[in-house]
Amino acid sequence: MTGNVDSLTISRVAAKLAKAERLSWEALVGQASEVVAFGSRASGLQRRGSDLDVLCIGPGKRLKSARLDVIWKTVEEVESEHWLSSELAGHIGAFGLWLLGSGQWKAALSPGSRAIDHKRKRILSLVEGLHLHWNRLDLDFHRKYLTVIRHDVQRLKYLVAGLPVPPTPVLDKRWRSHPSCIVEFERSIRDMNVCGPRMRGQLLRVADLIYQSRIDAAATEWAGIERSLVMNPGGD
Amino acid sequence: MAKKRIKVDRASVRAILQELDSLVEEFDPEDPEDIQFRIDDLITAFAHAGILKTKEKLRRVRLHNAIRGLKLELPGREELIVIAESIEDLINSYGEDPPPEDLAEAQTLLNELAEVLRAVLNQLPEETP
Repeated sequence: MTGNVDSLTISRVAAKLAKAERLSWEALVGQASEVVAFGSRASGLQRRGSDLDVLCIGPGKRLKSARLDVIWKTVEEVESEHWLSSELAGHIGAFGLWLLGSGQWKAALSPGSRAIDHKRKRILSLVEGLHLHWNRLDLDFHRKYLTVIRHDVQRLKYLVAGLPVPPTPVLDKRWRSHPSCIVEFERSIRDMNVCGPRMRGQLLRVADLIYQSRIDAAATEWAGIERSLVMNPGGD
Repeated sequence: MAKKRIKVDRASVRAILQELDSLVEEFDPEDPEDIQFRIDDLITAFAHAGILKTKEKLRRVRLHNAIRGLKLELPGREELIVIAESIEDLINSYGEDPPPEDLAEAQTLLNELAEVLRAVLNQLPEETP
């Protein structure tokens, strides 16, 4: 489930964004043998202010700005098992939009346990960190980290199923509107097989907060709908 | 017309300095998530002390935005913003843990940034009740 975009449109967007950063898109990717756009913009699901994520293959250095995030991998790197089994390679292979080159490495993708282990480790580290820093973080950062953890738990589900992880707006849409998402989320949490009561307790507490934030968001949405119905009973 | 100097209460300054020290001293090159938490602790301390000017929600404020928005007379602010951006780039990598050499470089840059911030914060006039 992605929006409708093509490589020509994205190339134009990339050139425009680069120009806004006072850069030349041609010069920026001139050394690349392959250029692939990925993430929300490449899927046509961007929000206001979303940056454009680009993978370039060749010799270059990462460029990260408000509008562009260009990462570079060498030919050797994209042919390595490390890359081919990574979450990012799987995502780009499935949802990337090739602006240059053919992406032959896609045929060698091999999703495996390394990406799953890495994701589990990251989720636990975030859960533990959130507990540790809770009192020092602003409320708005609490929301940020609960969302970050929820995204990673959702991504873990895809990785465990051997599926490519979709762009983040797809995860958000599924979370907001799909009735089975809570069951899936609970299953992913349970499947993490966390050892030790302290860590398990922390994980369950965070999961509760994530459910609560979904309920709060839904309540806010309903309040908005009710308000608009009162103001505009005919609905036109 | 002379610029009005900002006054911050000592408790808030102490809280910021504490976060700054914790970020520098407890920087763990093997725990990129913890580094990000500590950066957000610092941004929180700036905001709660009333010295961070931002139109964005706090969760969207990154270290370089925070440095840009600090209501302090920062010497070489533009340079510090570039340093903060470099730190962010070094500690964030797509779906992978950043390489240890990147985190070691981030730590060096962070020390540089912290030194300037510490000097400026220590010179702030005390707020009179």
